[in-house]
Amino acid sequence: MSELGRVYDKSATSLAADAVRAALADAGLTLDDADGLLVSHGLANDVSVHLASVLGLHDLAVLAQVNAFGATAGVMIAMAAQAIDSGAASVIACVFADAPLRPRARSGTAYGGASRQLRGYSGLQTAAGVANPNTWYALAARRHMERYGTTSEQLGAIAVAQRTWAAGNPLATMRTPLTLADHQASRWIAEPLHLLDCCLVTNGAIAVVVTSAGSAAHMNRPPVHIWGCGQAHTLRQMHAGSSWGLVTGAVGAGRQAMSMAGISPGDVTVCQLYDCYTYTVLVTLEDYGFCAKGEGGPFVADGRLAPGGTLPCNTGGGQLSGYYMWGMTPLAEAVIQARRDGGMRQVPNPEIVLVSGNGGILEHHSTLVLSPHRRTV
Amino acid sequence: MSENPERRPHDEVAGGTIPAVVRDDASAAFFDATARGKLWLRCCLRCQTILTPSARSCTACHGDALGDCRVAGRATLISWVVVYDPPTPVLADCVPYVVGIVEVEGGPWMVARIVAFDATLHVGSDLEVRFVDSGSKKPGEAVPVFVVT
Repeated sequence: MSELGRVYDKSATSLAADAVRAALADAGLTLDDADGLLVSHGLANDVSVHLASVLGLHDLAVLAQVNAFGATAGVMIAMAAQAIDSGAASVIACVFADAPLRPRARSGTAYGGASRQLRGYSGLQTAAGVANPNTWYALAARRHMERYGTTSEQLGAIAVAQRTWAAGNPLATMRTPLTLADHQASRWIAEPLHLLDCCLVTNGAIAVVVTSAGSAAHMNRPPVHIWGCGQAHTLRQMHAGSSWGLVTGAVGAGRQAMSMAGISPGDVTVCQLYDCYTYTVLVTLEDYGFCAKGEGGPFVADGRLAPGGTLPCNTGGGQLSGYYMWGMTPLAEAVIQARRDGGMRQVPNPEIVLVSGNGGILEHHSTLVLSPHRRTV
Repeated sequence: MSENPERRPHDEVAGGTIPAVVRDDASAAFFDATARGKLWLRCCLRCQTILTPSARSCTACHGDALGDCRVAGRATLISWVVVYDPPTPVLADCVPYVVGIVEVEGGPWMVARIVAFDATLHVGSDLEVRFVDSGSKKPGEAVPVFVVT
């Protein structure tokens, strides 16, 4: 990891370089050992394959910029694992970096886009007022609420649970305890979403190193094993019969990853789920099969996701309260928990960690099943 | 609330302001129609599926030969939100406003303002298109909005 938060003196590329060096050093490796680099950009879109030359990596077997938005982290890990399995490369660094925050600017402006002439059909949509993820996800959440009776208080339970976890994470941005009443009193962004249903915006970078299990066994730190991976890209269908807002790509990606891992939801001991909004966590839990479709509201309302609950979820505070590094937020916390580096927030049994990524407006989904143990088939 | 071509129906609609939208080549026919109080969508020439105005290919058969298709403008509500935090600076003067996804007769979904209603909205609310001039300081094209019927 690079520095995270309101870090203004570094470009995304510099932050990415810091994170790659730190991840390799953590594994006991140097840049000379890396023969692969996968790069993922965020909002600022100012990190690319050029990072290789910034790092002085002049001879790589694998180099690409990867983008499936919030699903990218899981996609990069799957690509890296396949490249290593095939023998194309042996040590691949996967990095995400972003630096959209500017001094003295509200974080919401990072997603606003510039004022400009509204033109054509895309201009028509912006003028109508659906012009950023907040509005799209609010439309999705409303549809779920209307169909299944999901309530704002149930979404709030997710925000409260994650803030409780964040208190134990020194890297978390928001660590002050939160009550359901605080959630309900927070201002509307786009009703039915309150401010405290929405994620943060963060400057920073996170990298992970992917290598073979055989090589990892001899490195500095305990490895985290990839048991399964899956992807589903379910582009938004804007016509009659669409299940948009009700069902997501987590169904297909989760089934694929859990099947590869030979597990079912009941085997998962800790979840790290992409949480651009509270609603995203709820619908992902349903789609992975932790509860029946439509029952996500009651499922999360009893505190089972919080410290001490039966399904610890987003144990670093997630992107709602921790830090917003897109799919690297859940992935990094999964690695921290699997290695038992969680300190105050460490779960007792991080045996099977489920990690999700969600990108676009519920359009791209990636799933990873990770474990501190090598899988025995 | 009529199809009378002599009277521009959007004149009756009290709604929030909508920022000015200008046409491009792809949307010229659509905005020619909205200026006359008509809603034109697209239609697959192979399987007749009715598509959104911006469709580039058919969602049902993937055909790429599309034509224009006029609809009466009845719709039902799929989802809606009340936006308080302007998503982009051009919407700063519009908040709060209600915007929804509507299913237009024939099946395509459109994003549009929901205006001039006093009843509680719910999924499946019956709607009808109206047209309002976008832009206040500088004028733009007439754009579709929906009212609860």
